[in-house]
Amino acid sequence: MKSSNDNNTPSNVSDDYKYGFVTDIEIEDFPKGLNEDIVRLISKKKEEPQWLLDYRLKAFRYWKTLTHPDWAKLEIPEIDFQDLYYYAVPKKNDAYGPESMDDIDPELVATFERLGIPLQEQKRISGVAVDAVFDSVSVGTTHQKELEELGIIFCSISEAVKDHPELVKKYLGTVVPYTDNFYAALNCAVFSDGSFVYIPKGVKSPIDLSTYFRINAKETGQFERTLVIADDDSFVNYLEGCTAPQRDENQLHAAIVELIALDNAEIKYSTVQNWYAGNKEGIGGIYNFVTKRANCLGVNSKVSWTQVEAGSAITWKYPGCNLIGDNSQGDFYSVALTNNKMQADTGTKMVHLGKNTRSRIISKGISAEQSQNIYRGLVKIGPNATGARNYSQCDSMLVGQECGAHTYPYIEVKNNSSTIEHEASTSKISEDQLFYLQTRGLDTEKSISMIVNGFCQDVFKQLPLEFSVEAVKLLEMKLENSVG
Amino acid sequence: METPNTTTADLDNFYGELKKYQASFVDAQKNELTTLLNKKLIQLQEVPFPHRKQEDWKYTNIKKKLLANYRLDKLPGKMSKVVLKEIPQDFHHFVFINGKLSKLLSNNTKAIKFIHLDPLDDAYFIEPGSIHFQASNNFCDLLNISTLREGIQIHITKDNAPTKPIAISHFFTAECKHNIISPRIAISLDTNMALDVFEQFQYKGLQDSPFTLNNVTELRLEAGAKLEYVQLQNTTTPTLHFNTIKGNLYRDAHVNITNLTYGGEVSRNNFCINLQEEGATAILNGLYNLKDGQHSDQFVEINHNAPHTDSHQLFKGVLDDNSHGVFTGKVYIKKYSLQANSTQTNKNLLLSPKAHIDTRPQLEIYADDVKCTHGATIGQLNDEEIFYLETRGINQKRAKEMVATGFGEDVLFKIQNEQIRDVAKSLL
Repeated sequence: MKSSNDNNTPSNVSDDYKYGFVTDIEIEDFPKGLNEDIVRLISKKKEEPQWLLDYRLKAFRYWKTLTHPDWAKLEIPEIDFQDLYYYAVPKKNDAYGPESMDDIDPELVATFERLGIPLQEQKRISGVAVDAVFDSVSVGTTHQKELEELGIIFCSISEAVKDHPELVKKYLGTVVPYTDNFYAALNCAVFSDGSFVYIPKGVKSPIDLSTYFRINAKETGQFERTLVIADDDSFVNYLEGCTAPQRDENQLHAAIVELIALDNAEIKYSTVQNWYAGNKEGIGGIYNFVTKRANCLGVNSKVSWTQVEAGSAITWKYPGCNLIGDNSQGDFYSVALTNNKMQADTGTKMVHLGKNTRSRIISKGISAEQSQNIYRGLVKIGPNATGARNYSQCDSMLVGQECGAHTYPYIEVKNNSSTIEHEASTSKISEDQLFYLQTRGLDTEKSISMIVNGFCQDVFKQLPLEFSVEAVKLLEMKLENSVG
Repeated sequence: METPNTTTADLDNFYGELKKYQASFVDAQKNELTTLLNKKLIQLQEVPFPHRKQEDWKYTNIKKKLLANYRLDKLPGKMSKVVLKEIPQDFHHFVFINGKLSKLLSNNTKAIKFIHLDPLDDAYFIEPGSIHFQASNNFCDLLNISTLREGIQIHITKDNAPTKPIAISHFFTAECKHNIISPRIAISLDTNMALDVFEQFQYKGLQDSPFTLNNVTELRLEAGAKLEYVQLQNTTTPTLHFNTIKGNLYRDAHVNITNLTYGGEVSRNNFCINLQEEGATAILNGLYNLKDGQHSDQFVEINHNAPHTDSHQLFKGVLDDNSHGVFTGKVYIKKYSLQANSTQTNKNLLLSPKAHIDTRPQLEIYADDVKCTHGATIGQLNDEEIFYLETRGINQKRAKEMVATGFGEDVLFKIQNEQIRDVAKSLL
């Protein structure tokens, strides 16, 4: 029996990360390390069908042939993949999650409440359905009944494998194949849980769907998998939030998110990522190595990624869109903030394959203290993407003398009827701007916050209201004391 | 060195040929230059052979072409004098035939003091105070020194200040088939000196013959020096062309480089400029005008190593047929290089459905008080512009040419020296 409470929370943890607490909850026994037996064990625990186990094993065997990629401009300490727990489940919680909300461990409910995500019926935020993922499993999904009436399936991926195998089998791994990259292969082999969404034809989801990820147990990796399918003429607004306890070890989070938009469907996917980022000396924090991709399969389909990346010791992700259907559209709005010794190598991939496909990239990077903030993005226009259009704007803001801001756009064009524009600029918070705001009676902190918000405005206005407010607060908190 | 899809035997042969070439004179001729050549060959073998798995060579595959064209035969250095008409008399004109400096064809060169770099020449020496080779770990640069045939080194001082611009012509004949030719030009300017240089590459053989051209230009500009350097690459034969310009600029030095790439089957232009002291400014302009199956890769690296340094890049591409253009622009701003100012623009015009462009305008910034922008656009001919010209009675083909020429003309106007601009225009 291993309790997640035996952690060695460092005494020097700062109190500016309010989600840094640890929940004292018993978790099930599971052996450490990674081998085929572990993969089989995960699959067995989840009572998975044979095809999924075969898929996992295929991915695992492929993963074993890979070496860790080194092309990113990141300094990643070597990760010992044998020294991790690949599965951590709170006890009293079987692999499929509780039958009803009343069965959830009160400790867990309290945890999510502390994070601002009430799971109990009476306290729920109206208008948002939440799938709460705690370590390796989904512990509860709210509003399931209301959604069912509309035909919307919103559940954990384990439930989906059991209840809707035809959908999972049809789409799982079609956007991100297990051969995609090192961490994608690893995820395919050991993914534990995540959210599954299916919006049927013609349905516009009346409430926002949301997943909240929480890492609690120590020495675990979180490998969740999200699959969102929007059928013809449907719409969904999907939100994602993440936090983790403060520890002085690094924890790995390697997820895969796959979105599929069919004819005329629209998916809006927003993330506010606030994993623990380590302390001022760069000790601890989450490694956030995520593969997120959307297939705009249908005509006129639309996918929009909005992300506010404010946490994680290292962020390494490129949410992208394969624009396959004619007239499909992909958007990417990103604010990435790094401070202390954080590193972020993030951006997007827009692959235009269909005719008249459009994409827009707005990326704002803010780099403070000794952090490194990198935008890396690919815009690729295939030979058949007649009339494709892309506009990219990547702005960086540097706060302080010791940080770095880098921009690496890749533009590959194989069609002459396309129009591509890319712009980037780098600036700092100027003395003049600060002085002006101060003469208007604002203090330095407020002035900085106002300038930063203005800088990020284009992205924030894409976020749903609650997220937008949260994002503004998050940036304010992170930038406190970094200027001046 | 093990590289994907390249057999070790291929590379062994390649390095073996280079060793054999050096052995032909290093033993007989132990001087500073041959020692250096030898050292660089050892370094070259340590640098990975370019392949597309490397970030710097991601879009250009040179392996097959280079491994087919690296012979180091003795080549004739003679040609008929007809070619000289292209360069007017009022230039100091250096002529290289198949990589050998031809004293016979060169013109007005006696007025300038220069050093003739020749590993086989007894008279070779390095003048005190002149610049030494500073080859970095760049494959092209190391390959150039390792296979050096001849070159010139010009040191501009108060006592050696030419009044006219310098022209350097590289001509090639059919004899250079399957050979590698590596000319090297080193130019250094003393404090407050100024110089204008025009360099051109032309194939003069009757029938096509593939060869590799790997020229390097090395620049050193002392405080307040000002240099204009214009390159025209018009070689029409199937050729692998590496063109490298690298330079160090000191206080308030100013360089204006313009590269016009029209020829060559596969070409790679490397520019590496280090802004070492305050006030240094680098202006880089490039035009690549490609057709058929041509491939041209522009690789720019500008290092702002001091505060108050400026760099401005304008690269334009006109791509027709199934040509492939590549642009990589790296601007690196070192820590505490405050008030650095950098702009970078890459514009491309795709004229045909099969033309293909890959562009990577990159910024690496480690200082907060800087102004950096970069932009890249890719587009096609504007239908309205063509229509307008057609309403004026110009046929469609001509109208398209006019718009495409107008698009590239910007770069030509960046050439400050009118004399050079006129010559460049007349040669296009």
